[in-house]
Amino acid sequence: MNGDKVQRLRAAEALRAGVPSRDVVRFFPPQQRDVETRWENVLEAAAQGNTTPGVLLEGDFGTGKSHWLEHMERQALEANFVCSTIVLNKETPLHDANKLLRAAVENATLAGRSGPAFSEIAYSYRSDTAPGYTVLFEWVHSPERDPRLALTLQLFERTRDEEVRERVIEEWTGFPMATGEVKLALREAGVTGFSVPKPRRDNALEKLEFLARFFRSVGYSGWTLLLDEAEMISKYSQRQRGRSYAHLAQLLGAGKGGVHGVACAATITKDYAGQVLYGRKNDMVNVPAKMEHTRDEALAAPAVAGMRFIERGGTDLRPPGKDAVDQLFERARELYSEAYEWAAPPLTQSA
Amino acid sequence: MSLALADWAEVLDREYLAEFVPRGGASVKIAASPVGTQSAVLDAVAAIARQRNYTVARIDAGETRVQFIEQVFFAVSRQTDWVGLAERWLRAQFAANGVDLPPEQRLDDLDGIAARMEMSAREVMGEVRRWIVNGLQKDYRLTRELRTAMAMLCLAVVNPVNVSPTDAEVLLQWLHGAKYSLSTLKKLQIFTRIGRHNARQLLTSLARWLQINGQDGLVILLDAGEVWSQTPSDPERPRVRYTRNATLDLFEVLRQFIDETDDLEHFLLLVAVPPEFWIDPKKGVSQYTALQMRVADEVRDRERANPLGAAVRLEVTVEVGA
Repeated sequence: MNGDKVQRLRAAEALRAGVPSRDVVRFFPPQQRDVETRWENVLEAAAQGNTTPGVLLEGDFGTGKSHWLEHMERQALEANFVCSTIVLNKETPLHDANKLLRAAVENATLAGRSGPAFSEIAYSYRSDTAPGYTVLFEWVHSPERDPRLALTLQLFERTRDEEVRERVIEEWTGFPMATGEVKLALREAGVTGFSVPKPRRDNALEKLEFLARFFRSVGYSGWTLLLDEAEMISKYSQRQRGRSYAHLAQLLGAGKGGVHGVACAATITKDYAGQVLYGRKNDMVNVPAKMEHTRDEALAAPAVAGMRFIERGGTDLRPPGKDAVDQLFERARELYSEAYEWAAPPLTQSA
Repeated sequence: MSLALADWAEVLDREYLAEFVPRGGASVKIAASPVGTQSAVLDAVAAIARQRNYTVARIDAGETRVQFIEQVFFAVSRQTDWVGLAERWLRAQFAANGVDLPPEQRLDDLDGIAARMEMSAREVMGEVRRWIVNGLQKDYRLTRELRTAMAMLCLAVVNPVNVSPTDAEVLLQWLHGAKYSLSTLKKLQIFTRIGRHNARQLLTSLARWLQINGQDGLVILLDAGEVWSQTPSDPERPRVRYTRNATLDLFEVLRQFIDETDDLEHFLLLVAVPPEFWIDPKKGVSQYTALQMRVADEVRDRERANPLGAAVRLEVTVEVGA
């Protein structure tokens, strides 16, 4: 049995379960040129370290949103991105940027590698051989950055203790080291003349950009985030919805948002704006009003940008027409025939 | 519509175990059969898989909390001959480098091996380290944790330290979910416990590790009958009991296996369930739409059951004891 046949059989298995696996998407790539072009532009901008608005796919249940995300992941992996697909749920809510960051790191994959991508990259990272290390170094030392990033990068670079390296990786992915632990490790690594600030709790997006730049420094194109089921936002409290819209804007590059080196796509149900932004919840009016004079005030403008993006910036997924459906049937028949070495008869329509 | 167990087992063998799985395929199957026959279903498949050079791991939901993926991994791990696999890998490296070690040549007898290779024991150790660093530790089909663990196990096999617990023992404790010495584990360059965040990837890597060492792959046979059991638990031998929430968590574990067959190779998971899986109003699969949609046969023949379906219903004839 050759590899080609195994791939076809794998695709047939996934089709039986209705799961848009990599093998299924390989044989049944989604067809909508505007989405394809937009995603190519997003990847290109991220690969150049720039930002451009991401892709928000709108569609009802069964229109192929997850299928598209699988296809986008495949394209991103082929373009040498680190990829993370996150299904938004109660454990990975859009309103909690720290949990999003952790989920993105845990789910990060690389083409041709098994296991968590970040662990693989960090384990073999050497600053003296990383082609983009100087650029990373300059960015992390700029005055507006969290100084702990520069200190921990220096520690990561200097220490020969693998356990300390692991702890630094955990710090970058949302589990900060104790300040005393950092000080001791720096001293043992021969670094002197420093002060270690306390870890910040609110800089998940900065860490996201740092990690994207970290990946780019070893030669990856950047980091792709694929967020599935953004309509979960409707289940949160009003405050949480406001924070979620803000984070969505920041990740998708809506308004003044965008994370350099990060390409983002998300899916949402088609009627979200009508049901939630303007419906009974009327978030478009109530959310920014409620955020004023609270600790979330700085997120009010991004929240509005996020809601506007949902309202106007999404791309409708068009269901396939009859000809396209017929072509899909024929492709499935061919796939099945080749996989099982059996001439599957054409489908006949019953009365 | 149901299938006879023998007929279905034959199809499973022909379409999955014979070639597809050994060549890199993966599948998750759910087999519903009358209450009390789950063991017979799994026995039939185990017999085929063992004949075919698979590592077969049997898990009983009455003994293992199968709603936790890491417990599934530990149950599989305890049935895996990790040391045997490490030895097999090492012997393959010697053979690939022109050193013919007879089966009776112990791998921890470095002097004996050195004599065969006409070099010092220290040089032999150097060669072994080189193979591990350039081969095993760069085999990115495996997760870093498993690469590290297998590398350390290989070193422990050829150079066992005469201290208890040995490195190999600590590694096995870690892999088995037993208590282990954290400081020893750290010396072996392993810093993370096995938990929900990495258990699935370790299972994926295990299946590949088996194939790397010449096996057809990993077959996990999960008897989930206990999930719906109404039989009172024997206090002398208590069984795991499953609440509705625990059952839904199990469904989530199964759904994730189905969704992540992308990453699985050389792998078959067969879950044997009673009819309650379909019909129980509180703990049946209808309570978890995501799994139901993946295993229900929405498109089906009017007259024949699909033996390749993600979920099948089996008729099982159990012989009455003599």
